[in-house]
Amino acid sequence: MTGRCLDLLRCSAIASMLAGVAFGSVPGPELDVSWAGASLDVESAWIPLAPVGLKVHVGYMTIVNRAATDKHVLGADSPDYERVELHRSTIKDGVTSMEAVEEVRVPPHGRVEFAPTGLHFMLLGPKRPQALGARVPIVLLLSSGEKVDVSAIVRRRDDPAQGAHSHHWHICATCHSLDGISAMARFPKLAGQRAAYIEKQVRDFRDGRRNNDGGQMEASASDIADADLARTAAYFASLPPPPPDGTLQTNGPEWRRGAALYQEGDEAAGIPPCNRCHDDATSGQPQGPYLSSQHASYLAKQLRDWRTGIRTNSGDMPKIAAKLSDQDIDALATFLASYPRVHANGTAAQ
Amino acid sequence: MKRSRAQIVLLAIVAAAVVVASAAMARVNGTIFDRPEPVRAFTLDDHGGKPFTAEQLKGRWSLILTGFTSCPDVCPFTLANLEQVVAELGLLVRPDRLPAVIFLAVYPDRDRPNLKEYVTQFHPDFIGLTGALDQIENALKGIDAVAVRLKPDARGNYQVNHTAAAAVIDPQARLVAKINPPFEPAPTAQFLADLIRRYGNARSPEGGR
Repeated sequence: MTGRCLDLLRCSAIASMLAGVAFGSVPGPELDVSWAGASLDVESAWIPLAPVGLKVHVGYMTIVNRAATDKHVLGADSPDYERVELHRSTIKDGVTSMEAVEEVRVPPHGRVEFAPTGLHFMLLGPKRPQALGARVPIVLLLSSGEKVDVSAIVRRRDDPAQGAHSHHWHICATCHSLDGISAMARFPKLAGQRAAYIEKQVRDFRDGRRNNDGGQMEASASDIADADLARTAAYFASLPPPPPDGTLQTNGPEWRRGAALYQEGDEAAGIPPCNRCHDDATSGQPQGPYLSSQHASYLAKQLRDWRTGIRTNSGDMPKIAAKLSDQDIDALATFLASYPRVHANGTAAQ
Repeated sequence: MKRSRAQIVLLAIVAAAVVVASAAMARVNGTIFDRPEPVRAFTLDDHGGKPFTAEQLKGRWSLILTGFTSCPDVCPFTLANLEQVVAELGLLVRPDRLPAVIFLAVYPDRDRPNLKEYVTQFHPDFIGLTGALDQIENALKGIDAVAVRLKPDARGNYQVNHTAAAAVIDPQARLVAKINPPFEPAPTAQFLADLIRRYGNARSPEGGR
């Protein structure tokens, strides 16, 4: 299965910069880590599957400008087409027309959508037959001399990941349950989880930044489009949070050790309190995911994966988990699984 | 000033009606004509090369949209959405009242070779029509549509400015309504279901006349 959408990071990272502009001192494009300097990101680039034999195709995408200055897209190229032009469809007085566009300005910290019945990339003279799920390279040409590499996926217009027929959460629900409270502990409960966290994890699985699950999520997530991912994450985030695990013994020594680590950390061992970033975060809005009322064995596995380096998609967690003993991990898992979820807005799960 | 309870209830009903109406209006750009207008006679070819006349519009509902096959953006968008509209409509009306979707291709020289692939990509039952320019003109007039074939630009791009709406033709081959972009599936299907039921339930074949 092929991923349906563009990987932001990858796209930015390969955004090749021409020397001599603002990045004259950067020693070549291999210095990908400075991708933020590329300043233009492209999201959800796609090309609708066109009827066989048609010599004019179309490309859609959202261009995001992360820089503080205007960016101007002057045109585009693709090795798969003879020519790429910027066009805009308009409907005026009930009549639709299309005109070529000389350049498209992307305002600072703004975004411009190329979408059906509006701005689009007209792809003329296909050099090879279109294939569903194939990726088509498109290079955006900016007035600054920068070039931005885009990888657009070919898919059907009536793709279920589009529009009103979006029910991707049914796929997620196979394991995570439609109410987001999974029955099996190896699948985390998603109900009431922060949408941004769910989105990031799915992207990380899809794009290979997280794979501590035996590859199952990569297979499931490769099929989800960015727009659909946002809706799906919002769906699970909107569900009532799971209740705490009532089968665990609370107030025993292990549970109390977990509670202490969660609330106070262990200064001697260099372990910060979990609630600095998670759940009822002392710092205000939680930065990390909700951990309370999660499956105990899932939490324990994640902490061990951080510790051994099997899971790496966080800046802080590997460092913190490295300081946790096996007893600490079991204590935290027991405590957190039995700890009722309190949302930032003050609502508590029963 | 004191209002009677009846007045307050009436006001509430009016207010609710306005809210409901504006919500529906915001999403469906549909226009029902006061007076159904029979389409003009025309003889075109369908995408299989068989003759297709205005008479063949009789006996079932049709949605006719105007376009051309090298239209990469608006026409495919419309066809894809109409496919979804008809799918939604299938849940709302009897199968024999489901409309045919007809794509009137107005650039015959260029459209004829691509027409079958172009329309059937969206649904195998969709019908593509094209033919002689004067016959296309008759068909266009009958559905209150226009198409202006522009000269190809310096790079050889063909462009046609054309009506964006789709015409709703009743089983007596009369133009009864138009639906406009963005053709959102659910509200557009509801609009058509209401229209089809209204005509289907009317004893007089003259509909609302």
